Amino acid sequence: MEKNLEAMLRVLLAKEGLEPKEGDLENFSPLLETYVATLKRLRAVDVGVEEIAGTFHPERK
Amino acid sequence: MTGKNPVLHYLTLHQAHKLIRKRQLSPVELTRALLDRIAAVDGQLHAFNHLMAESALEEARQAEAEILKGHYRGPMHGIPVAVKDQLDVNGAPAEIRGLEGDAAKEVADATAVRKLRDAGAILLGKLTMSSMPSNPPQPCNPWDLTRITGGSSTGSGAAVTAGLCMAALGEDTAGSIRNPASLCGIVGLKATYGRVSRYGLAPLGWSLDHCGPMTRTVEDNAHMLQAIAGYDPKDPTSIDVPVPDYAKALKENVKGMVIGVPRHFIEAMRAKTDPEVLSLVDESIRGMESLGARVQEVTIPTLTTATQANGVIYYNEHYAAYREEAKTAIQTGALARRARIYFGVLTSAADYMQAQRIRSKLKSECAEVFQKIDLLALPCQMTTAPKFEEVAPLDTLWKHVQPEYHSPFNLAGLPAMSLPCGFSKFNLPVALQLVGKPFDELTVFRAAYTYQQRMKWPDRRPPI
Repeated sequence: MEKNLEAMLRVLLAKEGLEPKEGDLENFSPLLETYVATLKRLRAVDVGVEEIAGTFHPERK
Repeated sequence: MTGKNPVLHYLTLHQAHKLIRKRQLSPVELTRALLDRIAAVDGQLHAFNHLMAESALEEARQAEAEILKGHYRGPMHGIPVAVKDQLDVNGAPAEIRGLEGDAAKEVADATAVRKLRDAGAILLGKLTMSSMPSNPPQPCNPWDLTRITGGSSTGSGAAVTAGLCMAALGEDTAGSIRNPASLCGIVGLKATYGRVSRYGLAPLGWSLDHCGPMTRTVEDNAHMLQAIAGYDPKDPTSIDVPVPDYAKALKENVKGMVIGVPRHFIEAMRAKTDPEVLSLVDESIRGMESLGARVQEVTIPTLTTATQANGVIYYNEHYAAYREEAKTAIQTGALARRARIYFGVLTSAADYMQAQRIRSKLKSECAEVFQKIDLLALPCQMTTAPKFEEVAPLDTLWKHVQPEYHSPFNLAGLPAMSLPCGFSKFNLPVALQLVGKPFDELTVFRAAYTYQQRMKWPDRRPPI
C-alpha cells in the first residue's frame, strides 16, 4: 500500500480508538487504494447547485 | 425431485392460496410438504440458518382452524414463508445483530414480519445471508450446486428457487435482492424507498436499505408486497402513501407503455457484461416491443458514478451504525466486515455529502427521464452465477467501487425488479431489470406479468 495512504488510515483509525488487524492493510491494499481513487473521482463530479438528497423538516416528527 | 410431496413444494404462492381458500389444500399439509423438502435437500443447499418447524406447524394448524371457521385473511393466509437473518423475528436468533438465547426472545418482530403474520403467513424460519459472524456454509445455487446464489440474500435466493418456501423476504442495499434473484432465476423486488418498513431490519446503510419480496412468480411477488407495504410510524423513513391493490396490475397489457433503455450505460458496461446476458436482455426488450410497448433510448449520465456514490454512502452509514462494535469487529469479524470499517473510517463528512449531492443529481435526471417513459429496462447482472472457486472473498466489495447495474436504483430509491428472462447455454438464469417511477410498482408488476405470461419460464425447475 502507498505509504501515505497507510499512514493516513492508521491515524484515522487511531482517532477512532481502533487499530487495523495484522495483515489487513496489506491484504486490502488494492481495494483501499481503489476506494481512495474513487473518492477523488467523485469529488470531481460537477453537482452544480444540487443540495443533499434529504432535507430537514422541523415540523415533521 | 425429492420430498414426499413433490407437487406441493413447487406450487406457486398464487396457486396455493386459491386451493387453500377453496379448502382444497390444508396449510398443515403444505407446511409439512415444505418441511419434508427442507429435510431432503437443505443439507446440500444450506439455505436455512434457523428452522422453526414446531412453531410453523402450530401456526399452520391455527391457520387451518381459522379458515375452516370461515375467517380467511387473504392470499398469504396459510402460506409458508421464510425471512433473511437480517430481519428480526421474535424468539429466533438474529446472528447478524448478535442476538441469541434470551436476548432473541425479547426482540420484537420486524414490521414486515409482523405484517406477514397478521396476513396469516406461516413462518418456517430464518435464512442465511452473506457475511454472517459464524461463517456458515454458503448457500448453493439450486441450478448448479457448484455455483453461488449471489448475495447478500443468499439463503432467500436458494430457498425460493428450490421450493423450500413459497416466498421469502430479502433485503437490498446495493442489489442484495436483485443479485440472488437474477442468479437464481426468481422474481425479486426492491420497492420504492419508504414503501416497506425498515423497522426491525438490521441496518447496512439506513438511507439505502430496502426490505422486499423474493418469489417464483410475479403474482406471488404482488401478493407478498401487498401484505408488507404501508406506512409504519416506527420507521422514520416510512412514507405515508396509500397502498394500491397490486393484484389489479396483474393484467397482460403493455400496449402504449414506454420503456426507456439507457444504451449509453449498457455500452459503457459491455466489456464487463457477459455477451449471453446482453443478448437475452436485448431479446426480452424486443419481446416487450412485440407485445405493444414502445422502446426508446434514454440518457441518465449519473448512472456511471451512481454505484460509487452508493458505496460511499453505504460504508459511511454502515460504520456509523456499528461504530461501537468496530473494535471487536476488526478483531473477530469476517473479511468483508473489517474492510467496510476501514472504508467508513477513510470517508470524510465532505465525501459523504458529495455522494449525497450526486444522489440528488441522479434523482433529478431520473425524474426528467420518467416524464417521458413508464419504465427503464436494463440488465440485472454482469454474468451468470459464477462457481464458488471463481469468487474471491472481497469481490462483493469490489462491486461497490465500479459501475454496475443495481446500486443506482438504491441511490435513487426507485422500485426495481429482477425478472427472469431466459437461460444461458449452461442452463443458468439470466434476468431483465425493470425500474419504475417512485411508488409506481403497479406499472412494474403489469409489465413483468405480461412478460411472464408470454414466456412461461416459471415452469422450468432446477435439477435438485
